[in-house]
Amino acid sequence: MAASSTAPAPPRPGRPPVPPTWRQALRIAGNDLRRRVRDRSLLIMSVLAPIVLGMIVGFAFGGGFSFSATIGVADEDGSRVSRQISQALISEVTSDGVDTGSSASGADAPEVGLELEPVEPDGVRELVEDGTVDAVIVLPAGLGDAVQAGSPVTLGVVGHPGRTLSAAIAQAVADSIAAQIAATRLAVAAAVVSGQQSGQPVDPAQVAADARDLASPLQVQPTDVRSTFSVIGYFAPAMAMLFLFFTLGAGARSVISERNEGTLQRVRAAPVTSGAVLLGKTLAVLVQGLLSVFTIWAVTSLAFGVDWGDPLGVAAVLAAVVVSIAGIALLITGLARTENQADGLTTIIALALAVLGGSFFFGGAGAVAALKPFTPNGRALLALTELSAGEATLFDVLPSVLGLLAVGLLTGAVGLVALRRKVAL
Amino acid sequence: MDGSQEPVLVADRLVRRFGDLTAVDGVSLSIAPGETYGLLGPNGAGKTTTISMICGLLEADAGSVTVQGQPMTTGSTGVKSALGLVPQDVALYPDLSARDNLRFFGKLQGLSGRVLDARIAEVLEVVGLSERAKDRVETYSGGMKRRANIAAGLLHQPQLLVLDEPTVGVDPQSRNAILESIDELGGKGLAVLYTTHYMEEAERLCDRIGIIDEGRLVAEGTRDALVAMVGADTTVTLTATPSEGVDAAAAMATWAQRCRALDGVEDVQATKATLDLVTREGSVLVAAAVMAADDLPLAVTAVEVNEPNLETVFLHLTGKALRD
Repeated sequence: MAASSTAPAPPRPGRPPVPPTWRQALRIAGNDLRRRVRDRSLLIMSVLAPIVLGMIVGFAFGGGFSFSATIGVADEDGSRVSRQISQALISEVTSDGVDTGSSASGADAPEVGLELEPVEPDGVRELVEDGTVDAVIVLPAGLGDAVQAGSPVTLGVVGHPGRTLSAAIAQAVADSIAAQIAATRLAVAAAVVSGQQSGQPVDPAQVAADARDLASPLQVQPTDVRSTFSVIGYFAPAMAMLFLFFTLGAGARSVISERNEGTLQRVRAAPVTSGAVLLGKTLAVLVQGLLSVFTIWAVTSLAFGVDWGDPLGVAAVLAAVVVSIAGIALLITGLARTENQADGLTTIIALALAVLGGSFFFGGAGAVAALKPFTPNGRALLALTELSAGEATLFDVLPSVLGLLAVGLLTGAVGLVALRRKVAL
Repeated sequence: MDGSQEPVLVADRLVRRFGDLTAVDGVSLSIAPGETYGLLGPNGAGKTTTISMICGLLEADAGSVTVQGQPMTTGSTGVKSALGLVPQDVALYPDLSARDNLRFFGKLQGLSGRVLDARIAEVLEVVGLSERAKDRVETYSGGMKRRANIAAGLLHQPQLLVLDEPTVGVDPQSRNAILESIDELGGKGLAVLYTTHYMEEAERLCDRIGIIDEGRLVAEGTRDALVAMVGADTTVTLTATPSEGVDAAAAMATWAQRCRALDGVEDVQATKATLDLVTREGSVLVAAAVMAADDLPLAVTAVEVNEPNLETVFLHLTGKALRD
């Protein structure tokens, strides 16, 4: 020490006011984040690794990454029109398949195998739930009359919450049918008006029949299906969620590591409450998680052209999954006795949830598909897939968002109560 | 302690148990402004637990702590500004520079802006780390880390500085510098609570010393008062070489007999070449003992004075060595 002759100043007569809890919490959070930035773990673990691993896992399927779905067609109407639509759909789509490998979907778009088959109208939901088919397009009773009468036509789709992509494809096909029915009507109307203007006799029924014939076989427009698929668009967030467990787990574990290293002791010897410590640590964990997923969203959108769908919905899902995983990380850390134990538990739980939640593969069947919606990462991936299909909005994924938030708040609250004892030294 | 000044710290009958183990058992102490109080005891005696309660890091099972008249508990905030802690381990972020560490801890103490910058510069100067302020703490030597650790405790100019074994694992040069600095702090009106199991440090730094063992404060007072309390004696060992051809045993016996007659000598033990004198007069008897051999065929070649110290006191009070 100083051989310096400089003497320390005498104790101050007046002291600065004790900073409020929220400000102390912000300082603790800021210090944690500064350290993560300096050791580059924020950049590597939260951004680079998920994108690179997402690409690797995605391309591990190579050109062979494929998705196949079996869509049932249930004819509740049984009319001539509905039978014609059903037969046209099955023969056309099944013979041609749906190719999403066109330039419109980008270089990483996979091949999609799609098969449509007739199913009995009774027990449609059971067929979907037991996995006989992935989704069902329902031609409802009264469809033929509605088409003849020019009434609005609505086709039903029955999907499975664990196979949202299949449901999205079925919905896209159903929308395509409805659009073609509308086009047929427009053609008939145009012919009738044209005939009247030219003074030629026009038989509307004959024109309609001709138009239906012209429109058959149905041309399914798989535009929405194409935009649904992107290897990076699926696996980058999937990997990001896996890495969230590790990065947010490390953030939560910093309570234990700082306790072991003694810095927590010095922090607590300052005018800082244990609540401020926990709030600061939680803030740091949340900010780190949000930075990670939002950066991945931006990078995959800008660099790889991935369309994640409705921005509000995507932002809500990403924020909710960060809250959810942060809560689980806090719970694990709170319940673990040592830092190593917390680390081990985090790894086991992260990998288990990654498998069950579909982070390593798309789709899944049986128990894995059934459990996927009940894992935070799986639920988030389903919501993101739904959003990227192009039709869903924030409103559609709100139940998922609320569910994820509930999981995060519940597990986080229990974790913080347990961690409070650790902070109290 | 100067009775005219209100104590900065009063710890009253502190008790802390961990399961069946009573780590601290009724420890009471007080420290006045400018006083350096040493808590001396072996590892596991309860020093760190006592300090943790004093700093509001650990709840006491019984007893109380007041710092500048305000109660200190784990929920206290304002009163903690009056206290600076230098933990036993280096409690700094290794991946941050000393300056960034101090900036963070200074902000937690409510310092900001130019005041904080000035304080950081000042304490870094005090601990001799101004030149390495921008370097990461992990690149420092052990001694430098310890000095940075002390700087963090001094940053906000506390009224009470608590140092928990700050020289453990430090090289002799750094250790000496740390002790000099702490000695200087006491002279500036800072109350210092210093725990150590190094008897020499306690003797050198502390105005008063509390001896703690198995969670209990077994004695307290100035160094001299503690030595006097246990009535320990000084041992003077004289080594002599007899002249050739003389009866060495007879010469040593005569010398021992003359020494026994000296005032203040309580006991004399003679061997073939040494004489051990036990006395409460200390080293003042050395000259008389050497002169007693003047006309004897002996040449006194060495003198060793073993005065009673805190080690002796600890041994006397607890029946075991300080570093057991």
